[in-house]
Amino acid sequence: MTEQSALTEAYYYILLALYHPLHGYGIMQKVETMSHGRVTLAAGTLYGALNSLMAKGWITALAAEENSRKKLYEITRDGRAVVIAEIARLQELYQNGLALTKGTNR
Amino acid sequence: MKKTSWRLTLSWNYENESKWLNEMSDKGWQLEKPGLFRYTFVQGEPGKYRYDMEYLDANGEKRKEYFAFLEETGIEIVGQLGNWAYYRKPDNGKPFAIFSDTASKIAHYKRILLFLLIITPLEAWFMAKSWVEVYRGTHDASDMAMVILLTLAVVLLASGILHLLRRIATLSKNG
Repeated sequence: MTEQSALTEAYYYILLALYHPLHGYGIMQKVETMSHGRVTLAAGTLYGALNSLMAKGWITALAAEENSRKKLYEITRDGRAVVIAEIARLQELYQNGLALTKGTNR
Repeated sequence: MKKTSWRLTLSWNYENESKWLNEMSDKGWQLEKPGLFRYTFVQGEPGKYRYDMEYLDANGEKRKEYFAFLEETGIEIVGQLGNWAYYRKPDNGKPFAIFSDTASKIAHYKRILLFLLIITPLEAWFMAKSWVEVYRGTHDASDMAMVILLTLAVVLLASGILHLLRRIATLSKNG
């Protein structure tokens, strides 16, 4: 895996949502629930993001179920590695922020 | 009851068009069929639907796949006009938009921009050719009307390109 820059919120939450396989609409609902309604993914934005994430090899589309055009998506091993790296980056940001501001009001 | 409305929208101002469709919805007129100038509406429950539009780059099977994905999320494809798709969703109290983040909005503007950047030089070339004919004196009255129309079209397209470039710059700056 090459050096990667920070993930957008949308990418990060989509990857997290796909630790269990989901359809497009399921992803939208899960992300909204996880973020307590703060992050809403519009359908066009989600579709573009899913295609980019597939092109990167971070998620994969599972074969559509019988009698259904709905695709199921799931995170890949590479995708999980990206999430782990992002969590480490966020943890560094979080801890440094906390260490420097803790106990002060300004 | 049905109703026909006439309106000219320039592709780079499509947001005004979706705003107009939402206003029509609030008045109880739901879009039945979009057209280049001619729109038909059906009378129904005021405010039932929220509308949005998209300039598509996918064709054929890819477009079908995309539409199936959108429909799965509760979006209805009301109509298509060339590469423009008209969407609507029952109003659930939240604003309806096909794109929710800056990156996808910019990508959408760039698709419209690319189209303008392809057709504008073509138009400009026809315009230049017509002006040359006018100067050479090998023209008649209908040619003159054509020259004026072509010139107006080029000016309009150029203003559209500037408008889109400004929108993209604003979005990039404000994140």
